Amino acid sequence: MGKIVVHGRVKVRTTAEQEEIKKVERAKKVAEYKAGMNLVFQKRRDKIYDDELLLVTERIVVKNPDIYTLWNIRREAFNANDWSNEEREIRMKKDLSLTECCLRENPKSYYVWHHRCWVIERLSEPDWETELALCAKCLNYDERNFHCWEYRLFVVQKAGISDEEEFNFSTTKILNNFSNYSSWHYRSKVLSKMFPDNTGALPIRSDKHKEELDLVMNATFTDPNDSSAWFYQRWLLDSHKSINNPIWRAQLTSTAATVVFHKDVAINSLNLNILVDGTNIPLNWESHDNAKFAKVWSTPPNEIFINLNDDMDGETFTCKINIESQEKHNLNQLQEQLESYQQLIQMEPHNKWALLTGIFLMRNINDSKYHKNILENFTALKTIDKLRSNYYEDLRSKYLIDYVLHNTWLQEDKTNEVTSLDMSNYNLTLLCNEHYLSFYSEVNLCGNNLGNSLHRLHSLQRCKKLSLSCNGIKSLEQFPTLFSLKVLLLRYNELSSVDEILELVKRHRLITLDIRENLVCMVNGIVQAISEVSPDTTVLTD
Amino acid sequence: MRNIRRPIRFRTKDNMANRGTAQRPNGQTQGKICQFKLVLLGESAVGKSSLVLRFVKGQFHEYQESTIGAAFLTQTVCLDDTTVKFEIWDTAGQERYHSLAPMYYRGAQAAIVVYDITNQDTFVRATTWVKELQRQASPNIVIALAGNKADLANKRVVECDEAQAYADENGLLFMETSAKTAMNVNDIFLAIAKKLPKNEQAGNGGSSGQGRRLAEAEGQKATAGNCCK
Amino acid sequence: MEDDLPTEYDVVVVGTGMTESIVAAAASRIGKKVLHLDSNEYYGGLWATFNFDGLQKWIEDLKAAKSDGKKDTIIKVEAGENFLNASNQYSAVENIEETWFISNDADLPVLTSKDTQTDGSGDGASAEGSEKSDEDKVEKKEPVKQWSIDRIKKEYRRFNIDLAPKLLFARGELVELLISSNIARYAEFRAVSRVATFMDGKLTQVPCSRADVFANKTVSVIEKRMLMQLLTSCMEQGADSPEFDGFRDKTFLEYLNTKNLTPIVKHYVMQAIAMATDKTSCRDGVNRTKHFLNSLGRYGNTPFLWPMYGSGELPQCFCRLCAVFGGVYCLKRQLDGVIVCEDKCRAIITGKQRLALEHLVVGQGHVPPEIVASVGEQQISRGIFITDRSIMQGEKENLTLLYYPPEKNGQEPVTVIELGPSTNACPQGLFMVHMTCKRINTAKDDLEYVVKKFLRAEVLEPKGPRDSTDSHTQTVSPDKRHIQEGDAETRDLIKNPKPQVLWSLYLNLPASDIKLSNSAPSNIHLCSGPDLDLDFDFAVNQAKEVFAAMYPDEDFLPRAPDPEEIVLEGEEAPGPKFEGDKPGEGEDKQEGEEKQDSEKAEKEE
Repeated sequence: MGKIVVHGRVKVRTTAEQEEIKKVERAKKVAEYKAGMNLVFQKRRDKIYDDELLLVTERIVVKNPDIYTLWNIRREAFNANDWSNEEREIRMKKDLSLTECCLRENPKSYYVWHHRCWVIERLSEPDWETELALCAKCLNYDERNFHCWEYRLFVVQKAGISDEEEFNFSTTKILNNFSNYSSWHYRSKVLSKMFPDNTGALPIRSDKHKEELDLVMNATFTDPNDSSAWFYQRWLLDSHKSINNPIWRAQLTSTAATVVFHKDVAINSLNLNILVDGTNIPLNWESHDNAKFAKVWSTPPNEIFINLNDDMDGETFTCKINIESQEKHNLNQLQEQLESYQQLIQMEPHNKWALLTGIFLMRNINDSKYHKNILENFTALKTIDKLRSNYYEDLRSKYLIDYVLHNTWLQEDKTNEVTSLDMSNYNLTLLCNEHYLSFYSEVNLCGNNLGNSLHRLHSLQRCKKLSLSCNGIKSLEQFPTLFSLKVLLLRYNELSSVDEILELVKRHRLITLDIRENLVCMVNGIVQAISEVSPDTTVLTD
Repeated sequence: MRNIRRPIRFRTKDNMANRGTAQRPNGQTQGKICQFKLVLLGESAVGKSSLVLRFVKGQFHEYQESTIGAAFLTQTVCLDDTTVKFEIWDTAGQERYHSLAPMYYRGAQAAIVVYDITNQDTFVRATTWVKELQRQASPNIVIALAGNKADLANKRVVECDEAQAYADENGLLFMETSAKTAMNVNDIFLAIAKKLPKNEQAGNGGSSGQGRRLAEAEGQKATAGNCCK
Repeated sequence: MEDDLPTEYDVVVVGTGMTESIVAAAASRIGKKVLHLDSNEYYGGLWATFNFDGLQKWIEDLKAAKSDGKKDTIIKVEAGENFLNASNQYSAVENIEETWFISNDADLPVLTSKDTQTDGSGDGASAEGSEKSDEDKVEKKEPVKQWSIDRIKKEYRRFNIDLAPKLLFARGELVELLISSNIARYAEFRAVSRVATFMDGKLTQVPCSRADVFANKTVSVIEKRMLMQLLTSCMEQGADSPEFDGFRDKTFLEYLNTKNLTPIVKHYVMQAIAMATDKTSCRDGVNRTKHFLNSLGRYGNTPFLWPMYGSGELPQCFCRLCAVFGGVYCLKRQLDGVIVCEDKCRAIITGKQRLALEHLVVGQGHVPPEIVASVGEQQISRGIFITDRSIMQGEKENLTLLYYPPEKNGQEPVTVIELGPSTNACPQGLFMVHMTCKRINTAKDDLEYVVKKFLRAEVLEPKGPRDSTDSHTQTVSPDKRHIQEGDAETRDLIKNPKPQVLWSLYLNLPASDIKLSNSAPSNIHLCSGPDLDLDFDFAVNQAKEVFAAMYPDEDFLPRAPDPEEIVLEGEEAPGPKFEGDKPGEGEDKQEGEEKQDSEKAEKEE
């Protein structure tokens, strides 16, 4: 064994030495980066889109794929240069490998995916198979990369990949790991496309709906704390009533016409007409706040004068949907699932998702039958998940409003009368579906907590008597102008501003205004102030 | 290579970045990187380590201490559209008492069997190593025979023709090399790089393409899949 | 071959088993001069993995060694020294029984059609070729030959047969050690793809990961929840949690019985996850469950890893590290004896050489009988089988672990590991089944009830393709408890016939409970052979103890450097100029003002 060791002794680099090497490297990189960026911007100012510019942007972008300006400059260069088709194609392909390289560094860069999209769309013969393989690889590496899921959707459409293949792909991904919003979302898209439900009652065809409900239930029982599965289930269970006739009801008087739709629509004088005795009456439709899409469309007040027979005046033309005839799908399955979830709630009483799903299932099965249980679940949710108690309150309000409306409509079907609506004492925290309140002349909302929903009352344009007593209202600033309003009850609230009251009275021609049991009553001369503004109004104060 | 089985493999961010497109100094992004395991074989003192050090570090020392602590060294060779990264394994002296562990050849895609042109015994021994490789290693292994110490031509005892004939017979690459003068050192590695199959299956970062290697990062990444999170 | 070895060492390690190799690596890693010897021409001792030929030779050598009788060496010693002869490690391997169930080529009829040799799914190679199935399927066109003794012997290189097959828990001691020491670079692994259990008369895959539980179709959603709840509580709370307070002296089964579980869930947890018997204590059961779950999700769908080319690779990995740090290796070199002076071992005698040492680490087979206190009673029963199909057919090749609890008193639970071709255990079309249990009688007797249950170990008449309606029903246990199972089994057997055993080997090995006597020199450290446990934890922990006894203040296997971290002193000249080279580290030193810039760059990046 040689002992004359002078050179070539092996040693291990210390961490300090490695740090030193890194430091030098880093400093070098910085210098390169700065020089590069200066050059690029100078060239852009001078509009010199030459090879050097491309080379330098490429170098920087490989290390910093998120500097989107550089990608913009590259695209500018592609547009500015007068290359032959052949050369353009070659350069485009190089940019494909460039983006691929960048994606390795950062698979979640918006700008890189976008650039790739831009390039591949401009190729004469894009290789979609390669793109698909890239997606598969990338999703293998990180199955939650939604950028890649989006890109895949784009590629699949271009490549003409069958929906079935994509459906299977999503199944594989979900089986591998179901904690993945992206793959569930992707699945919902593919399924809606493959198996649309013609009845409009379900998001997808009934048999597939059943399979999906089963699949997702397995996920929720395997890990009830994973929200992605619950969200997919929510999509399956949410009511998807796409009614063929978008109009809910319409009302026509000699001076006004109002049409209420189930969904937000855009309306103009061309696509919505009123025929009186076969004559088309030209109308200017307006929505609240001139929204482009709205559910309630009316003619401006006192703009039209239609000669109607006396007995027709005030007639409500109603396009009613027969609520009862709505088919219930997969009832047995829903019932079984409900039982399983009730068992789960017993095993894990603090499982909010199970309670919530229980509500959705009960609503899907029969909300009248389970009305009490649904409210119980809401109460339980509020106590076990205090952080989201406001959310549950609002959800409960939404449910209750639907429930009351539903029952009112059933009643109306029998009596054919649309005059008053009673939603008092439900502790509603949120007013929603307010467009369905458009035609009632008497609306009782007393005993709720709608102080924050006043702006939503704008649809009550036909309402003559409105009760908002006992709603914890602090301010009337958001109160809309209701043209028909004559009687407004605001008892037992927390109103304190005289100005707000006066402003409200100014906008309306009220006969009665009840503001008893409000702080504002303590203000001296309040009654006098009101009567100065509106002498005809009877004001009730303490 | 017929029908190589490929198991699932986690890819750490690191080797995800290393694989595939690499960058050349001239700024052009370019094709894939293939990584290969290359093992050195041959009698003690024929210059195995010297060849590696000449190739990897560009150095030569008359009295080279054995490469303590070096599990293997790496060096990269660029072909037209591919970067070939060699993971070069030295025998770590286990050959001295004929005690080389079979795991040494496992998954090796290339081997250089080295002899000393001034020592007939080492050539005979080299032929036994070749046989051993043919018996033990992967059937597709690329084997190169290196007649080292070509700078000592005046002491030559193994004729170049003899070795060439043997190499031809056995389908080996053959070159006479000198770690001292650097003669043919890069060339022999380059020749091997050219002969290696460079498809996806072959040489991909850090594994012979059969099983998976364990690494720290993988374990951390995968906790998400854990049963109870 | 009696090469002269250097004569002075810090540590001499005799035997290349798992524990010995870890100790050798650890000592060498901290700069100790290590000599590592083994009397065999292969690495691993009783931990070795052989190809078919190597195994045959091993068996022959064993028989020869038995009849040989050992000649004691007479050595001249100095005053005050005492010479002790080393023992023969083979003395404890017993009851070797090798059987062929197939014929030689000459006795085989000529076949015209595809037959039994693959597992029914046709091209086994492509079926398991890629988990993602994005590779082209290669149709095998060559005519299928039937397996014969000659063919297996001819393809001997494609077999890797383990004497001590063991799995690694993905977060077990060995995996952590391999990673932290950087020895993981030397080895490759495959994840065990399924954990199986025998339930309701058939084998089923146990859902152990979250994904498995989700995809499982045999248990109800409520059972899924029960299972996940139970696993979570074992995992998160651990055996010391108040949850288990009432069960300190109760069994795991008793605990499970209070949890209102369905039979399926209880079975999964007991037999597959905790691998417990009726007698396992609650504490052990919880700990085992926790260990199992801890290792899930790191590398695959199960908590286990299998070393490619067999367990015998792992000692070699540690040996390589030892060699890389200067350890001297010499196989086929026997320890003839040790020289003891007062209470220290001074030197060993090997091949007429006297080698001085500070510490002697000896595998249990080599220890001089004079210093052994007890040889140990525990032994292992092993069965190794080459079969023609999997015990549980699947769409792809699987690596299966099955724990089979005793059917009645007087039986021991048996661990079954089934390996396919992708582990390099056997050629395409075959499977390798390893069975292990604690010894009661002979290996063959001890394992018989399990072999009968899952394999067809009868001589295969050379009459062409196996007919799937063959009557295997006679192998069904006549035990009355199994009448119902029997029906299910019969039906199942028609669809999925039991694997035919082509070749089998039974043997009894010593388990590691040998102890040194109190009078043994304090610098002799004993390493056990393979133990009964499923994993390597015992060996790793023993190696740590031995190392700590030798060098209490030194680090145990600190991380070995990566190639990038290694420099040669006086390294100025850059390497050869290839395109793609990184510029030499020493170049372009312009420091000073650039410090600021580097900080900026990090922000910008």
